[in-house]
Amino acid sequence: MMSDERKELISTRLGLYALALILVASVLVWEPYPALTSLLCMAMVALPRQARHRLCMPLPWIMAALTAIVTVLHSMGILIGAYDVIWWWDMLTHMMATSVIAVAANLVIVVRGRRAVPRQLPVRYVPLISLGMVIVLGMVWEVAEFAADVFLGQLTQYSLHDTAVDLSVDILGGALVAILIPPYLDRLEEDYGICDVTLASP
Amino acid sequence: MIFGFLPSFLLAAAAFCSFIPYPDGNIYWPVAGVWALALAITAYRHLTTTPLMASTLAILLLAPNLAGASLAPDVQFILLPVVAFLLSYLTSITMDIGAEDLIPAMSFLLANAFIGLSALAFYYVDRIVGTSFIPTNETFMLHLSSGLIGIGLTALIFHLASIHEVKA
Repeated sequence: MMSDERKELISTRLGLYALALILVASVLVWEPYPALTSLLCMAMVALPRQARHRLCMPLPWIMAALTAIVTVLHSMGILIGAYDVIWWWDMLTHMMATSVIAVAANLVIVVRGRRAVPRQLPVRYVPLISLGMVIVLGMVWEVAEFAADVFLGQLTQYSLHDTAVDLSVDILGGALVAILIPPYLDRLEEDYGICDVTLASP
Repeated sequence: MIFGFLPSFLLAAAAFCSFIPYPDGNIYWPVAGVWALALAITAYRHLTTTPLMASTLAILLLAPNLAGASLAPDVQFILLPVVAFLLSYLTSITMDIGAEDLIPAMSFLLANAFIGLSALAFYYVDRIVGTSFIPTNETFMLHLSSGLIGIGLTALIFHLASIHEVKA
């Protein structure tokens, strides 16, 4: 049976290949926005592997797969204009992206919360705090889009309705994770996110 | 005993004053007042342990009334992020979460969540009832961006002040 790490590696590689294809296609048709987006997305796809090996925070392999899928959908959506043609594309990517971010936020807060002083943060508060983080990230994203429209002449925000629905979907994704994740957080091992200190060989 | 509960009384009175309407007044200000009132009623015992912060919050809530009708909307706009942050801070303290070093960061998140959720709530009220609290995308974005910047600055000042306090 394939291990979680192996599944994560395959998901990451598939995501990187797909994003590389989108990057090449964007360069060929001379579209800098999806080209830059796919480059940034490549860095994001590599994050679950980095979290496993550098931060001792193995994520469920499905996180790597979801990260790959949502970044490919986002980059491809910009390249082929799916955001303009398919009304639910924006909602799909927002919902998936915030769900992935919310899971990551929960795990980071658990690890940080265990080192809090004077007492560690009770796990029951973690989903709520991560929901707050998702809301703030959603706000930052919308403000960034607005700034891109105003200062760079882009068209990322179509209307007030579009902005409000995006933010609502973000919150929905964060709330869904906040409801579903507590049993998973309870099962996390005590040393999750704590790396062994290894002395460098002379 | 009576003096111990003075911050709660003051906060409740200031919260009631935040309901006084002004022409072109900030629509989120009375919502912050409701939050302050709820805090003054449900957490009055906790507020006795943080009298300075509760009193400061009460004075900030009273500030638009002291400034006068012509200046009140501007004062409300400037002070809303600070009020939201202090409300979040006091709320976090009353929850007795233990992780005191995380409270400023959590207050930042909670205050911004308040800003975002209240903006969305007014948007949906407009859609359902036909009012025009948030007529344009620019209004919506102004609220979100001013909230993020204002609360970020308040949290930063709080952080710097706490570092200074530890060093002293």
